[in-house]
Amino acid sequence: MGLAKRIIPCLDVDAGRVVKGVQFVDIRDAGDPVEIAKRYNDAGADEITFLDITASHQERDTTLHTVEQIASQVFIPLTVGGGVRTLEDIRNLLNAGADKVGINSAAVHNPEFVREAAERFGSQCIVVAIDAKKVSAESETNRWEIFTHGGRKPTGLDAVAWARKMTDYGAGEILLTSMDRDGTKNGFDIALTRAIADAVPVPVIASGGVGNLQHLVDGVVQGGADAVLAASIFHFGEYSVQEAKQFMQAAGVEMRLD
Amino acid sequence: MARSEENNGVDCLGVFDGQVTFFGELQSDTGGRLKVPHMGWNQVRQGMAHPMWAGIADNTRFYFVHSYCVTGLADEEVAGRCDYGLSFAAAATRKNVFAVQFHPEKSADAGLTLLENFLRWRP
Repeated sequence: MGLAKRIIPCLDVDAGRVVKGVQFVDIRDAGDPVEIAKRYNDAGADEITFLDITASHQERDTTLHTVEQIASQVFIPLTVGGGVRTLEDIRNLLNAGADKVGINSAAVHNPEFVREAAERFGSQCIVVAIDAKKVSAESETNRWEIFTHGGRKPTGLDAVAWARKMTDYGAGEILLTSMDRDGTKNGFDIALTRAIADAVPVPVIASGGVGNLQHLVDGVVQGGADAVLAASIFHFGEYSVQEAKQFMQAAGVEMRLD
Repeated sequence: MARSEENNGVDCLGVFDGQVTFFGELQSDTGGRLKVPHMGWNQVRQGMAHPMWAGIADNTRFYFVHSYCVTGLADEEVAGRCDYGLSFAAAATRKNVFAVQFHPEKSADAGLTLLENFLRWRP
């Protein structure tokens, strides 16, 4: 017995409401972030991730207020990402009650930002979020590239090399999303997950594509992920967090069930 | 603790005579490399009966997130242990002090019970 694998429901929040995009189009409303976070806390989720997809400056205060509300009622770790660009942004989120902060595009634009953030606040609260897309042809060796702007903008950065660089710079965790799988319900990109998990010394959260409970098991067992993130299968009640945990435990994955 | 390897080595308050050491490269039972930080829910083996453990079962999981751990404590000061590549002190106590490596405020019901116990504890 030892460290359990984690299940992390993800709340995509736009202007104070939880939404989930199918490949970032066709967004459906799944409700109030505080209520949902509390529901997941009570249901035994191991962590909660809150992705602010508005991230416009006007909405910043709404976000901080929501984070405060969640942190005052939810006693499991909370990661907040989306639009994090400055040390001030990080400080505000941590002060509002976030335990970890996710950095995505700002790391691509300025990798030194990750180093400064880790030095200032500690690696344990710096999560680098990576959106990767497969760019190799079927006949070639697998290669994935980092994309920004919701998967629309290629950066030319190799995903594996980038993940390694980010952990060298002090990232304490990698949140890895497959842009090919996100919203498809076809399961994680296992080869991508395995490549990144084997390349970095820090924990990796697999994200993008969960459609059933076997996908969660595959992410951990085949992909080597330390945690699995999902949104819509939980938001729309297809599966409960407890069902997911029982299923994973029965498949031989160590989980927190108490 | 007396001393920590953090920030290239610093002297600490010395309430306990232990050391804070970096995890370094850890191996799992099956020989794989363990990830650092040690991040997530791990079990705490209670090393003694203590008012702080009231209502908390042995081997209950708490939320950890750390890259350094405490070593070198006297056995009678180790209130709980956790295993992650090595066995380290997850809870230390002496007189009216009780210190934990994990985060009770992020450890759901078990963590809240521990905090309630602290408020009730009259050492």
